[in-house]
Amino acid sequence: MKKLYIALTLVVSTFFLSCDKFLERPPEAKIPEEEALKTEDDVVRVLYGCFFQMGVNEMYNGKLQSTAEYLADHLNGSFLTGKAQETFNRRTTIFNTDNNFLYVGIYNIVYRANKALEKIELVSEPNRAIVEGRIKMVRAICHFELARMWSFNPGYSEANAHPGIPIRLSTEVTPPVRASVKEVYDQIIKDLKEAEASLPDFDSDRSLGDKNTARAFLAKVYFQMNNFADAYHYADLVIKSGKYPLEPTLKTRYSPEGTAESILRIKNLSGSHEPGGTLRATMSGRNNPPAARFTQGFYDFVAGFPGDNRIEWLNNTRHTNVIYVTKYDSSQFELPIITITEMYLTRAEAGGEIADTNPAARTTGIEDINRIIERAYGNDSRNLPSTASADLLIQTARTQREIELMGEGDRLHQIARIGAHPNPARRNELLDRRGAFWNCPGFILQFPDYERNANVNFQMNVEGGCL
Amino acid sequence: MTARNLTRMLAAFSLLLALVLPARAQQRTVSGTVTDAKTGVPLQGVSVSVKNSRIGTTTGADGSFSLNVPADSRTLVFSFVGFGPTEVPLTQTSFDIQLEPVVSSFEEVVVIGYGTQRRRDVTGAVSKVGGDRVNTIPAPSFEAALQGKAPGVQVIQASGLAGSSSVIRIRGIGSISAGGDPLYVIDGIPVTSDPFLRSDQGGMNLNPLAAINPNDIESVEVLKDAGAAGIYGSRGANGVILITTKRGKSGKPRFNYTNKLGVVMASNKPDFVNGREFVTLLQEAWENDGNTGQLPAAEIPGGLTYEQAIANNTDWWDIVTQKGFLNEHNLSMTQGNDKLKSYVGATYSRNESYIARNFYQRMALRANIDYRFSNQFKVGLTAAYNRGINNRISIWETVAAAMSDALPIFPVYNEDSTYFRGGKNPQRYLDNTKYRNTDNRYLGGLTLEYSPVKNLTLKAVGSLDYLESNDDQWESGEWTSDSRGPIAKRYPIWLTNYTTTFTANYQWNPTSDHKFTFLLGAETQESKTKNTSGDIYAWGLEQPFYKGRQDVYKDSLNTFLDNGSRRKQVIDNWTFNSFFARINYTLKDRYVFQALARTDGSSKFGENNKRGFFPAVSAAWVLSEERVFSDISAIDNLKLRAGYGIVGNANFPAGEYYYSYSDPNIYLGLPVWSPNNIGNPNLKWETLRNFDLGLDFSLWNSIVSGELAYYRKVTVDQLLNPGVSASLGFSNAWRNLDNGKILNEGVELSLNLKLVDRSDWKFSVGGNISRNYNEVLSLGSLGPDALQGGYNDTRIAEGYPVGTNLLIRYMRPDPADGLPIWLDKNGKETKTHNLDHRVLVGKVLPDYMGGFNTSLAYHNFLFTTLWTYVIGGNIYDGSAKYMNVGNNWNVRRDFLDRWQKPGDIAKYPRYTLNIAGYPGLSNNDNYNSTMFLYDADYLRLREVSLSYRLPGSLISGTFIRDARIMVTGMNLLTFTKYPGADPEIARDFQNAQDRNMSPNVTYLTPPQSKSYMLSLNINF
Repeated sequence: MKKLYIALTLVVSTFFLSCDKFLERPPEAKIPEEEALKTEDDVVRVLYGCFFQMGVNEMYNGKLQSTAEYLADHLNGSFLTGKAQETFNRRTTIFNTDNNFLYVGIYNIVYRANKALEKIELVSEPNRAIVEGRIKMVRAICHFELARMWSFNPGYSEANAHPGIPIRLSTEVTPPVRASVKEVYDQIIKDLKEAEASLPDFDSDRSLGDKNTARAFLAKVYFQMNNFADAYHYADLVIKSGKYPLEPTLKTRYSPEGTAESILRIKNLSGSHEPGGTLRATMSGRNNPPAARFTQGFYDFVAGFPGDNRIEWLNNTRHTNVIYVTKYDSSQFELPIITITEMYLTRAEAGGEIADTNPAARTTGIEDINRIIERAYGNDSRNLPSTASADLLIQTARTQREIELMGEGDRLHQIARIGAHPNPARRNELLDRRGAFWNCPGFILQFPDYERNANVNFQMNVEGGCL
Repeated sequence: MTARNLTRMLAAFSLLLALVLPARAQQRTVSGTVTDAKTGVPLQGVSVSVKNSRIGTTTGADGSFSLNVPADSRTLVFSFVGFGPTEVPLTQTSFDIQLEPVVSSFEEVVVIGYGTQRRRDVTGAVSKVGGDRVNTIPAPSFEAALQGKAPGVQVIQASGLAGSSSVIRIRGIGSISAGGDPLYVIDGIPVTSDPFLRSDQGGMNLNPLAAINPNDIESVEVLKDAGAAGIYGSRGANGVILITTKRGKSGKPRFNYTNKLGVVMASNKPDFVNGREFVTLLQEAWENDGNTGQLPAAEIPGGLTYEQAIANNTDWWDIVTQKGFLNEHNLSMTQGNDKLKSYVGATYSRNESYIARNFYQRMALRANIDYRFSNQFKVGLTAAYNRGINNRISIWETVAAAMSDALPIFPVYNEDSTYFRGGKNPQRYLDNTKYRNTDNRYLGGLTLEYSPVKNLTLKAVGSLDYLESNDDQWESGEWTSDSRGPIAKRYPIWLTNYTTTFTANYQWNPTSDHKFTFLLGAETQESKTKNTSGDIYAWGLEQPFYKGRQDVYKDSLNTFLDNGSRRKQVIDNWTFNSFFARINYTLKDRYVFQALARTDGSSKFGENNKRGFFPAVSAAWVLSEERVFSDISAIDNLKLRAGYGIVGNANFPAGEYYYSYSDPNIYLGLPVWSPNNIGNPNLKWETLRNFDLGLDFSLWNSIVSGELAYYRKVTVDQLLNPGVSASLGFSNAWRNLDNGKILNEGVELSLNLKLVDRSDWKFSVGGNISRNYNEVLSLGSLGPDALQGGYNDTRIAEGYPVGTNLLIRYMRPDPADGLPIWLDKNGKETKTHNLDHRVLVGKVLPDYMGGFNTSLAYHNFLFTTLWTYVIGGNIYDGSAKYMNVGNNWNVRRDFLDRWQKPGDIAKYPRYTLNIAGYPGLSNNDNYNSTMFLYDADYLRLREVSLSYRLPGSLISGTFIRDARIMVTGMNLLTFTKYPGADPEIARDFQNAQDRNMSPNVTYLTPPQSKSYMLSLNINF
């Protein structure tokens, strides 16, 4: 019996030996943060993840552009269903999971940026400043796109005190609070300017951001704010860098080989990461008729400029009774995030806007818009004369922008920007071809319900009211 | 670590053996035969054992036995299911024993966690279903066949898709985000049953249990309360389903062969309009929307002209369905002698569903070997290989498309014989894709059992549950429309689940009135799931990998691994380290007390809650042993039992209590770090407080028998995933809900009546009914839309059952203009749709459910039926909202009861092409309302069978001992008010929360199948 007790004790004790290690089993795909983020390289890997998310999984992958197109006035919504239909009808609700995923997806990039920033001490100089600059640039881009989709344009209220979006500057778990649009844009500009200050002059790969990238986005942000002097200034800096030639053809912008116009791009790596998946899925008619179909009215508008080769971007023959944009028909392509074309369009229009105080800007603007026109027509027959007025320049730039950036999600933001224009003579509050005022509630997206659950005082957007 | 644990355990066990093996006693041999006292037929499989010892054997096919017993043994005990135990003094060496059939199931042996008990000693709520009863119908998996056979067990069989996953709920649901499925334990191994291993693909959740061969199952025991399931601690809250496989029986080798042949079709064909009717409806909608003239082509889907559309009439349902064939062969062998007993079984089946191209093919081999080295030492080996091939389809491209966006006006081919591509074309999908999931599953265990001293049994078990699963897809160049041509893809998963268990069981009977059983145990388990971080694919391959192109797959895999674009990675890994104890005390064979406790440590739990403690106490009082009842001749047996305990639910993902990262993607040549979650070091199991009260009874010589039970379960600390601020960058974070409380309270009754019990014919009826009341008692501060059922429009709200609907109440169309009239929140009629008008209405959980059966035996014929039913609750048809508006989906015929002209009194509003034309509505998705809420009651003839046992005179002189022919029908009749495909709905679920909240919510869920089957069963 004694033997038995000894044996039993031994057997049982083997099981009671320390099992602490046994109860720690982090799966390989779930590496604890303290193990994952230990070195400079790890912080860079978090930053690279931001770019990956921007182009391959979320945001510029196509969700952002297609959502903006649904809200704008180029699409025929009669074949849209579900969430896209709701967005098209400008009455988004908390149940629009497509928009909710877009929201959380962009904030996930902000989270990554903030996490990288919180670990910035792991990065040694001189890299630290560059990494920090890129992180802030990413954060600014995300806050900017969120602000454009979930809050009204600057100019909607006195001093832009109207509610913007939650500004997230750390990964701390805190309830969401909407900052004012002024605060949001101030933060965006602050981040971009700090980025501009610390980034290298030129990143030949154009995949991570340099001074020109920060400046291009500053131009874009200021332009959205109808701050034309600063928009002109930063677009001018980018163009004058001479690093980004305007492509001679219209065919390279969304091509596998990419475009030299990209100031920031997400490269395509076949089989590994192929950016722009949602653009292809929602906009391309390469295989089946896409969800995003353009109106006959818009087709006629473009076709109303005889000789403009950009009509080729609108296909109305492949699928019966379907007009779609062909930009995304390649099965894979490099994804430009911001291009020199947009800078020319921005400098041109801003040049017209500041012509009173800067006459040279008008001349530059006319030259800029003529570059775009010449490429579109293949000749200079439709160029603006060098004597064209500022108003004609502005109007032409607006038209060229609308055609040039069709299907890229830009139109919505021009409806908002021009609607909020500080100059009544150049303001058009009813630019929308569907007949809605730019500031009707449904033009901005409803927030996910989760924000309200996390903060009962969270101010949701008003739904509908546009049609 | 687990392998090391196993080694450590075996080493320790060997040490134990070395220390105590020398103690052996003198022995003698006893032998004899055992027969049925009523019929005189020899009984095979009777347990013969020395009283108060582990020494024993079972009788062979001729009823004989032989046993070496210690010289000092005094009593032999004979026991057999359905017969009363008999004890005889060991005063001779030869015995001729006649066993009396018992008149009740009180003496039935039931399997409980880590042991067995006589039914009369069981203090917890346990339902037993014999293996023969889970093998009667061609269900997608064995657990689906439990429907209607165990009270309190809700089985919602999945759709008619081959190999799909049923929803099993034991006494309601108390979980929100954590899995609400029971724990499945096969021969002591807690096995993988996760229906989300592959998430939701192609409109179904794959069922890992489908590969298990139902023919190998001896019995299924369902542990329902803390008194029974408490021994599984943090994993017992949803109940435990114990599956015991067949083992060898004493006697010469005996064989069983079963062949089943059958035909399968849809239980119901949904009724949709034809092409001409569809165009007419579009025209009507066009005019309703204020237009005049003929419907323009721009409003006709598919790029068709009006003339083309009206000329087409494709019956897509006919194209995507088939008459499926069933073919199943089972061969098994059992043998046993004093030393060695073995069961070997093999099966092959190929069961087609009614959906074109869809079938499940199962090949399985099992060997259960028991070897007795001595009266003290036994070894048991359990080994099973199951291969399940699921030839899949995506329902969205086939059967669901036929009920929605494959419109009858769409042709299969264009005039130039190319495929029509203007809209959904299921034929193009069927011709140009292949889709197959292959599960190779090994289940094995080695048991070492040692009885060093009388009444003490030490048992060590090491087991492995290994699953290799390949999901293969292939698309032709026609389908991909890619310059690279066709593509073959594979998504492999490898899952390894080790368990090691050590138990010590000691019986101590100080006097005949006092009997104790002590159980002490320790268990470790580790589960590890690996994948390749993405698909392995090859362009240009004209066949899928499984069609002899394994070489290309391996090359592609190696290439991807080498270039870093894919990696083999552990995506899920968790451990449990547990200790448990149970004490049973029986006083005067009349009062039974049980106390048990388990402590579980798990790698899933947060740093601050690494271990949980789960105790339970229960007791039973055999009232029929009391004089006041024993004097009543009508009462055979009467037992009252009660129990209370705390159990947990740890069915949530691993690696959630800490902030984690992964690096599956590469950007600019560098693997990028991606944050996975928001960590929570306080994360722990959810807790269930469970009270159970039961009465088992058997009256008038078992003419009436049954069980009545009451339970009350309160779940707290619910595991919750959604509801954090989305601007944090995550919409989910695992945590335990503060102040959450969910009640499940219910009554179960099962009753069996032997109305006629004569030698030449017998007639019995039986059945069960369960009533479960579910209410969310408190939910903290979460809003009404915080907890949603994934794809489905269900909610969890205070004061309502889990899975209630939050809907706008629809009244009727306005006779003047056909627009819908709603009720606002205050009950006032309005024609403006507004989400603020939504109220909590309807529920997915039924009030009552159960089944009843009949059995009529006449000479060699046996006719049985099983009916299942659900009373109360609702079906929400999430797909219906697209079926009576717009031009994208076909129209179910019941929606034709619509407003057409002023003055019409109709059920449904006017047809419209633009849902925004209904005031306040922004899209079809938000068109949810009580318009699509249906009564969920149904009654279904689940099984009906007629069998004939060949008379002995016919087979005497042949090698056949017994033969039976049977015709079986499944789901032949369904009575329901629901106009959709099928009233029994377990759709594809997005995640566990969706699965908890949204049974009975359909979204184009294919109807179940009905089948006719002819089977032949031969014993030889």
